[in-house]
Amino acid sequence: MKRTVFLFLAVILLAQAGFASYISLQTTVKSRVEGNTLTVLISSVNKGDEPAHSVQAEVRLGKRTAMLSKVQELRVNGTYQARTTFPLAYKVPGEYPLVVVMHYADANLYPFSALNCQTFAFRSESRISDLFGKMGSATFWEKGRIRLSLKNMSGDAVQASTYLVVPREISVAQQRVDMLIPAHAGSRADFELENFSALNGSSYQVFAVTEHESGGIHQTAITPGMVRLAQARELFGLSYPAILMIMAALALIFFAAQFLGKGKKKAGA
Amino acid sequence: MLRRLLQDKRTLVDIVILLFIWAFLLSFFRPDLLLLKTTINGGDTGSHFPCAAHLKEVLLPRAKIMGWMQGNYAGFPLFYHYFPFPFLLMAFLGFIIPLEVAFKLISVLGVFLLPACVYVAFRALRYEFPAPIFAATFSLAFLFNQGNSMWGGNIPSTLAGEFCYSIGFALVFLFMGTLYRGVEEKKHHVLNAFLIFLIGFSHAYTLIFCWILGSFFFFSDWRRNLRYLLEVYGLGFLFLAFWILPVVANLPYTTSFVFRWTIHSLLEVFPAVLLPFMALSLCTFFVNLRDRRTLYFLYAVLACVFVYLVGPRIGVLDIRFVPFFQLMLAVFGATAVMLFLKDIKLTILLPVIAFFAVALWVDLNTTYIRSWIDWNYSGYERKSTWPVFSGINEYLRHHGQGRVEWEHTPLDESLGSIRSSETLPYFARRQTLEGIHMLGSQTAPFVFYIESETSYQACNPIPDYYYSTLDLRRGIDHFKLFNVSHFVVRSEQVKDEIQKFPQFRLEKSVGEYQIYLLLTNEDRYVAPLANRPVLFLTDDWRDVSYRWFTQEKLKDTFLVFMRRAGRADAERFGQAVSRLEDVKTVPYGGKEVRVKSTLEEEAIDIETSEIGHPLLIRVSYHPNWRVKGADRVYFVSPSFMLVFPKEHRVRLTFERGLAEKAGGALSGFGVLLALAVVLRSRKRRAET
Repeated sequence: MKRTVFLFLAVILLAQAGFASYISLQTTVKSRVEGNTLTVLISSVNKGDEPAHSVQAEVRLGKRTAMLSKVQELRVNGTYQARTTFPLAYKVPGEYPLVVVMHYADANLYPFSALNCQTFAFRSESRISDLFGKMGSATFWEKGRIRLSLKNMSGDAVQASTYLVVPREISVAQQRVDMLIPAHAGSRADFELENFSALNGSSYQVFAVTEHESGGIHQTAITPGMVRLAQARELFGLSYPAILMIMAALALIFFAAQFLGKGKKKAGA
Repeated sequence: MLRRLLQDKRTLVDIVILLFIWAFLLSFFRPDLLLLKTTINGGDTGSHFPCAAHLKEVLLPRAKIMGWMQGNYAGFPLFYHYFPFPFLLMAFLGFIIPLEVAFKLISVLGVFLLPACVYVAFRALRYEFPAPIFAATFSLAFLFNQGNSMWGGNIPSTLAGEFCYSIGFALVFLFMGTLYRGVEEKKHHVLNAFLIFLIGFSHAYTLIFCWILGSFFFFSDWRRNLRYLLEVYGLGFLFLAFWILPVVANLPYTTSFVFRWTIHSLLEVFPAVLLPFMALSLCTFFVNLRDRRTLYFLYAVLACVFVYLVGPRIGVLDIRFVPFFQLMLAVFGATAVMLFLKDIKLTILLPVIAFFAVALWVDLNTTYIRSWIDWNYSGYERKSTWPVFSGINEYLRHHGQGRVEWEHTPLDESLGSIRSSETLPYFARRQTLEGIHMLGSQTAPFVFYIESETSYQACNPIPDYYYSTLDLRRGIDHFKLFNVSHFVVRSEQVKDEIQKFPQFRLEKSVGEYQIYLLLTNEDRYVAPLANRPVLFLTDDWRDVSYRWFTQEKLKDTFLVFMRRAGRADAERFGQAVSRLEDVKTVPYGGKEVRVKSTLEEEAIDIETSEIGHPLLIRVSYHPNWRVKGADRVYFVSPSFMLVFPKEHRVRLTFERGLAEKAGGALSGFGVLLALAVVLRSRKRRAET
């Protein structure tokens, strides 16, 4: 009876609880084109439970970037707001990409960044791209790969150019991938990724930006994907499954010894 | 003996598992970081380093363990209110290997000792194989519990700077076993007394637990046990006397800090990683209650609960007793294995299986410990911010002699610790106000008041005192009082505010930090008084002095605190009052007093042009300061020293007091007594 009680108790309590402070910036980006000027308004609220430090927005428009005002500390539920304008000189009307990166740091001034990717219409109505994309998730620690699948929904072949927007903690090998996608057909592009400074267990949203021109209109498709950085856990250089197998083998030998009646009696109590 | 041990398969298995446990610990505490010659950082840990360096470089060469350190809090008595044992180990080891490495190795000593001490304790309690090695393995769950990082004993607390407690904590569990065996056999007097000495020399709270354990033996055969306990604890006291008597004598010159700790969640006391082990222990208590050893554990557990509840009322920090409670509940369940061993074969496999199971469980429940270890043990010099911190230190090292105040800000965490500035005495060779041993200094409340006046986000750590908000105008007065010549500023708020005060001049910018020079500071540690000092008769100088300090109107009229005044004192001071409202400012007339002074670590040399004119020494008061060239040292507001020179040259030296001398004599007697006991028992053994 006593043994049963002990065995029962030893098994039941396997609960885990984890508590950690976190920073969560919920960012809203509004863009407006007036004439040849793009105005970008950024509002970011810290919805985490610890203050964010050195909060600063970076706006990327093609090859142009702008670093906006910096806030030393963004308290919990505090709001960061910034605004900037860009002169536009596109020759082709249509839909163009706008990338906003929120840079911030935790209490240890460990830097983080969060991406926001959207499009704005230049001298045309907003329209959905002929290309529809799908990007899954990638889990790796040092190096990995993420695949973008594109489907051409128009009746014409499309010459598209794609690039991946990633946070600075992750590096991407390819600057840009060009591909010809036949009408009503699909195409794939693989992006090689490398962990630059991401912490174990962290996840990041990445975006594939695919641009092409069709019928004198510039089109942009934004495809989100997820990257998770996970280091394989090991003990003494052995993976968890390997350890479990060793334990199982030892346990098997132990129980076999009891039932087979072999081995020397070593009872202590 | 070793051969015999190795021939015993079970002992061999125990040794192998202990090696596994240490290997598991080393997989977290990476040897390449432990042996890296960088200065440890993180939490309070880095701030302890200057104390170890001071012990090695200043005190030990003078054949002292305790002494004066000018570096923080306007000077404070080092190791009169903190525990020298780990620092002694660091300092001695530091003569063989770099002190930086020695510090790191000793800072993890308690963590590595604990499983071994638990194992030996269970062996001493005569628990049979495999209970002792099970207990040692179970102690990993306690070490890696992440429920708190302040209470002591576990790895997070050790990383936060409580390595002294960790060492005492490991030793007290060893003592738990050896005391039980000693009382049963009426043997091991010297061993147990020596353990009491080491435990007390490591941490006061672990010493209290020693007493708790001893009290168990009054409940049975108390007459015989009492004699044994008196002998052991008496000898332990004698060993400790050279340190503990000065500690007790020094208590009036410390700052108390006792409060009821707020526990936010039961999971802090019962973290998930410990729950299975605790449940196992509770069940074992229930089933094995007839076993006296079970009662011993149960008594200790309940005593911890009792002391936790009454702690704040008897002047001890309640939370320090929770780790004992947790560890006992974590390891006692190991004895449950005894219930299953009847007719069981191949038991030597059980510790191996148990080790891997516990190691997996612990590893699964561990999140931030590994990165915290890497953060601490990579050291200040490996931080990306080191060029900034080093740049500030280099500048301060070569510019000026006065004290440095550093704005308190959480942004300093990126340098290595929020308390990075406390290492200025080591890195910059400059005195700063804050330091690690705030309770060991009576000046600490004043220092933190200044911090609150001059920081945007002050820490205000001592709950018994009130603080200011940012007020640089008053801060300047207090800077001058404390001879602060440089002010290091980080926050945008203080950077903006300081522009309004032309008394500050920006001397240098390093990264985001700005170093200002206070132009109106006289830059001297000894100054003649402008007004006649007032004799203040009081039993509560702290309250009076704090009020004096925080009010502006009496800032240039200093109060000399005494309980009772003799006739000579009454004649020397024009006024003797017992209420602040009665203090009158009486200026000294006309004559200019020229004073020169030199500050050393344990000496202050003064030259004055005016015999009899009182001199304020901006160094914390302590009764161990002796003076030549003046008749005595007075205790003056806020917590400084005052002398009336009888000669043009005055010299103050920090010397051993009566308590040190009496304690040293008692300890010497204790050592002789222990030698006699050892020799007598050897002689008896030889005869039998």
